[in-house]
Amino acid sequence: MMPQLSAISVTDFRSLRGTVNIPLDAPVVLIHGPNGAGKTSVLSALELALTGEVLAMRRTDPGYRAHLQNRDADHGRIVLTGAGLGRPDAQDHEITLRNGIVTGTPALIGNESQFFSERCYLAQATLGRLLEIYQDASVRQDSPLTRFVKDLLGLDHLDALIDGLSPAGDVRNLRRLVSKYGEAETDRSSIEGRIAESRTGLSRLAEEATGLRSSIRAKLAALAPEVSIDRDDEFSDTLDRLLRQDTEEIQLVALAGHRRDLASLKQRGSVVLTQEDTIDQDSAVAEELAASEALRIWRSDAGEVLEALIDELRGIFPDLPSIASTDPETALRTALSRVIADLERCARTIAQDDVLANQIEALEQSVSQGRARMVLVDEQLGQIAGDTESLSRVLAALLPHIHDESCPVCGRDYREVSRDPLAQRLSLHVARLTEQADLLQSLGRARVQSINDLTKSELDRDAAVSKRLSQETRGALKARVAELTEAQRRLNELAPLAETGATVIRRDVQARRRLTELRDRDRMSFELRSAIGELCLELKQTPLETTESIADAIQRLDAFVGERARVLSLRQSMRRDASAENERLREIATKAQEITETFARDTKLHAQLEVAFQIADGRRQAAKAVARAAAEARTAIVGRVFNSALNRIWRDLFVRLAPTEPFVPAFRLPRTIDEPVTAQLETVHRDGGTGGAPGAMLSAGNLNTAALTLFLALHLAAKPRLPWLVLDDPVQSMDEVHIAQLAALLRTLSKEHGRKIVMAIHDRQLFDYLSLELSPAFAGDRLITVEVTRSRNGTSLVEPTYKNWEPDNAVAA
Amino acid sequence: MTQSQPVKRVVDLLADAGYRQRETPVTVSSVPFEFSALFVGSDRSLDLIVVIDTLTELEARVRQKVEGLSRALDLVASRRPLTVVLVGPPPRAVIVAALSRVCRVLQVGTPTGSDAELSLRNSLAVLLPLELADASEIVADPFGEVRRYLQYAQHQEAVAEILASALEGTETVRQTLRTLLSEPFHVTSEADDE
Repeated sequence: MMPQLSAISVTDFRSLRGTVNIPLDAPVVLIHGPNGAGKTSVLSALELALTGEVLAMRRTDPGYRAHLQNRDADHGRIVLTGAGLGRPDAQDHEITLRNGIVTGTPALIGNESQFFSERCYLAQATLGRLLEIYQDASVRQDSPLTRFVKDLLGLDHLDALIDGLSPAGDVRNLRRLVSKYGEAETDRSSIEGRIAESRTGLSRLAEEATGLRSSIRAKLAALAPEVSIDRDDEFSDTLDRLLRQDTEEIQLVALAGHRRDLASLKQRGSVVLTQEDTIDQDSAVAEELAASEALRIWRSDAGEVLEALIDELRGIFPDLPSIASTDPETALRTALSRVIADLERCARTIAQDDVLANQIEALEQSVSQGRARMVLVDEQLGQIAGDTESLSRVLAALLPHIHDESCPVCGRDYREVSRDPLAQRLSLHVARLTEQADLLQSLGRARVQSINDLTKSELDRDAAVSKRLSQETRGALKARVAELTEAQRRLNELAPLAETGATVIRRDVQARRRLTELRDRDRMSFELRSAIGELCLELKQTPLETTESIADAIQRLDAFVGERARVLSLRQSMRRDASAENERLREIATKAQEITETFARDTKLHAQLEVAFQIADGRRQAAKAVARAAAEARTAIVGRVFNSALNRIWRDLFVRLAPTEPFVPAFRLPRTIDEPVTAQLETVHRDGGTGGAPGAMLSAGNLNTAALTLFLALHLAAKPRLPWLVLDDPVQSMDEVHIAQLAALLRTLSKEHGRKIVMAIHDRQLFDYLSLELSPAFAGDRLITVEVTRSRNGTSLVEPTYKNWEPDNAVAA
Repeated sequence: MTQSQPVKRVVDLLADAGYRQRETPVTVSSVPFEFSALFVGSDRSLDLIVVIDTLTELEARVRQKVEGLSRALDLVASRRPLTVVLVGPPPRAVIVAALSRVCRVLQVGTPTGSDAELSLRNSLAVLLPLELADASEIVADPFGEVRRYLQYAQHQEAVAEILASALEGTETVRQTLRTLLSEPFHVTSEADDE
């Protein structure tokens, strides 16, 4: 049901002091009162009770709630009575104000609340700023006017289409919105890249395969001319079989054996070949005979003498080597060195014995000196009598007891003996005794020292005596020296002979060895030739002629084997290369197969993607078409509605109130299809053509009229959710003409269009005028006028008057 | 009393607007008043409208008559608001001011020419019925409009889907667009993943 307002009770709210009750249950309620009586407070109370806000106050002071409560009261209260407000069962709506906090639920919610604030209630403060508020330049896109227009025209849906579909217009935005689209584009180009890659890959492989085939054919012509390969697909199987028969390997292994044989022959041959072939065996035999004869002669002559001497010397040095066991030179040198060594040893022994003899003599002398010294010390000791030291200690102990000249021992008077005092006598005596004791001690120490020296000399002498050689030994040594010296002389004499002997022996040995070697070489040469002969047979080469030298034969065979191996290796490597190439051909076939499969898969994917793109792009076109259609529809609707509805009503209302004003305010239409819909104001001349903004074109009074009529036009253009017009003193600066027109307009709105009018007026005349003009005009019509005043103590007073319809008979209807 | 052409136009306009013409002279509080024409409001209006031709009536006489009528109405405690329509040359300002104190004064002058009718309507606008816009004109049918434009568009299913989403706002439209454009690629991307 349509909401109904019955009454409002306001307590201590803003300038209202105490409680006032204002009835609202009439189509027209006029509230009169002088300025400051609280008319505006009544209307703000109504707004607060309905919407929970006082919008005009909030615009100037967001913290306005702190000032809502009457400053002389501790709390305020508003009770709105009506029907169809808020919860269906609720009759009263109560708002409480305490300490700046507003509690209670507003009677209207959501859209209705907003509708009331923006379309039903025209606060006094709002009127002057209305045009400004409606087209606040900074927030045009979302100004209340724009919001209203969009809401009115259902443009939100079209805007939703236009804004929502805008990414379809630009492919970059589209990619951002639809990630799949962008991904698919990337996929498509990567697939296209892969397809191109596959194509080039395949052609490259085909090219390579052609090259490989011709290379294999060329090799095959050399390896196996009897085999011919015509078809490309034979390259794999037939060829593989053929190429796997590695016959060269066996032959190469055999050849390697031959080469080793040859190498060994060559090595053995080198021994033979390095020697002079010209030396014949006969001269070697003659030399051998001569050498052995020379040796025999030497042995029987010088050799015998030398042998005898060495045998003789073996009596002294039993381990001397004989001439037979070594060579004569060595034997002689060994013997000589032994003789010389022994001579040196003997000479050294005799010299040591001489040194000992000298030492003994010196020691004997020192012993006799020591003994003489002992005798001297003993004599001196005998001169010092008795135990001087203990006597001096006893006498010294007596000293303290001598007090006079009487002896403490015998008691005799010492003066009888001497003129010297007794104490002096005793002191001197003690001193002499002590001196003797010291002498005695040093003599004692000298004696001990002498004894020690004597003893040491004797011991050394005895030791030296014991080390001396006996007379026999000394004699034997001297004899041996003489004998050895003789042997040395003889050996030196024999030295040249021994040297000759050694030469003769060496010659003999060499001659014999030479002879043996010659014989060995003959044997080896024979063996070599027979081995070479066998090898020739084996290698199917010309047999070895007697005229051909071993070196030549070996070289000939070596060259043959080398050449053979080279040819075989070449064939083998060709075969291996061909095999590798054939293997590569097989790989190429596999790879080509893979690429062909990828190619097929990619081609299929690409086709799928193309289909998907066709669908998606078709849809994108559809979306663009929808966006375009929405933009066009928006322009068409805006144009139509603005012209036919809003602008017409506004113009009509404005002309009613300002019939003589040539410029009429109007909404400006969007000029292009893409321009966002924003509500902007302009003026148009009655005779056509546009003027500037209303603020620039209209007088202050007519500007006010423009604002008021705009408010009314917006109210009337909207679907009347709440058919209420609550106006707070809207005629402050209008002249009388306008007031009369406004009265007529309000009457039309009330009587013809069923708008409930609640209006505050401060001007008495206007109030009376409106009371008359808005008088009840038919049965059921009613007018409530309310006088708001203050008592002497400041309490607000309210006096409502109800006027019901009565038939007017002044002029017959 | 014969009516001049301008007066007749006013009379016709007011009659068209639903006002009821009454014979003159009219008697109020036993006093007869003579005017060029006189109208009262219909069922829901108390208006009393008198039409005066300033060409035939002297200024002083006009003032005398109007003030007299006003007083007479007061005497019978009538609540009818009085409107005086002055046809012809405008009176001096002092007279208009005096009249304005007791009634609403509408001066129409002597409208002539092609825009005479419009000029007259402007002058009398406040008396004419307020024609509010037809509801169907204001409550536009944006979707019907858009559909008309898209009648021959291709991909009608996509169009229908997009239009349906518009009711729930920009984000939903965007989401629908996303879905519509993503969906064709689902098959391919699955194939891709294999």
